[in-house]
Amino acid sequence: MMRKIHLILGLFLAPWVLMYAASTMLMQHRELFTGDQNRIEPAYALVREEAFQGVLDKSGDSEAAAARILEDIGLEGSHRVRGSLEEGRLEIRRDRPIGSYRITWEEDAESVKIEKQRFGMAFFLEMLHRRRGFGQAFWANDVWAVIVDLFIVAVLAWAFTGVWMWWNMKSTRSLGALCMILGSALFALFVATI
Amino acid sequence: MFCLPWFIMYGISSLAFNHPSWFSNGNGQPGGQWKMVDSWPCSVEVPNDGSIPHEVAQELVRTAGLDTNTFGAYRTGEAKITVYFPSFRKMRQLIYRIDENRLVMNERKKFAQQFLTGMHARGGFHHDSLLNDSWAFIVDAVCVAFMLWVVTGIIMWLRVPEMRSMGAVFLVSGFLTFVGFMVLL
Repeated sequence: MMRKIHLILGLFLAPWVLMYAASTMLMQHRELFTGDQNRIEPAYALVREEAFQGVLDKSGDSEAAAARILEDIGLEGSHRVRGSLEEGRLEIRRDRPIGSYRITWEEDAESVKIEKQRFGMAFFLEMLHRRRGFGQAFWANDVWAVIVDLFIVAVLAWAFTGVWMWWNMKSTRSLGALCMILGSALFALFVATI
Repeated sequence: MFCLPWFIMYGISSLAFNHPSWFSNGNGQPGGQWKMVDSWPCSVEVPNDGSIPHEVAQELVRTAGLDTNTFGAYRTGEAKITVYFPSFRKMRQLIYRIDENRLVMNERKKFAQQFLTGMHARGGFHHDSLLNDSWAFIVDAVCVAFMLWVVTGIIMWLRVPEMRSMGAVFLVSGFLTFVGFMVLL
């Protein structure tokens, strides 16, 4: 039973394991992969500029207006918004793993400009790594956050079922114990000193 | 077995990212207010814009009489530079108020959330210190272990004929779910 759980979780979550491992290595060695120590956002390219006929409630908040604009142009989903209706300008970032969108609404121009971010493998992996939480009102984001929770449970389950399986293999008990003691001692040293 | 403490740490600390309110009552990072513990007159030259050169931050650290290579710096306003010191135990920062020619050292109590997220996010070889580089090296080893887990797990699964169909269902559904997210998110 323990082995089955260990295996099934591992097979289902394999893409997440690979994504988290690859993205962590990438963040650790950004200079090697991207040539810069800081995270570089790929550039945006203009997709289209269209008239925006919708009426935005100026007394409403910018978040509600952004949701309205996204709905109007068919890009609903997780987003961030900058600017305000009073200023007459909103910049909406519709965050997506495969190419985010930047939507700029300008009251004077009565239009929205839609730009799409070019794909960059390093940015893509890092964005997926950082994606978490139940803070957005979209079901796909909540399901992703549930999978992140499942991944956390799986990592802990792998660790504990791994210990259980090791304990049942008499031939590797001493070597395993030595590695575990060494690892734990080193971890404690790091916590105490750095 | 060697990497076990890191696996457990990454598992638990991820909860602090996915459920920040569990650790902070929904009020942002706990830990109280920064308290000033010392200050010095300071007149280090800082470029007007762009990132803070390492040498400038190093000079500020030296002015505060600290002997460490583990720090980073960023702008927190037009005339303010913050130097931070990643540490598992202490929360400490230097604030350089350029207008006032003054350098201030602040400290704050560290709570579970900062401890966990700090540990999770710690990495990289840019801090010039053996212990920090060793930590970063182990982070790499944990990543390699994660990848090996997948590869060896698949090999072990293929060697168990009675698990082959069920395993294939989970493997394929995992990949399809992942790809589905790329489209739906």
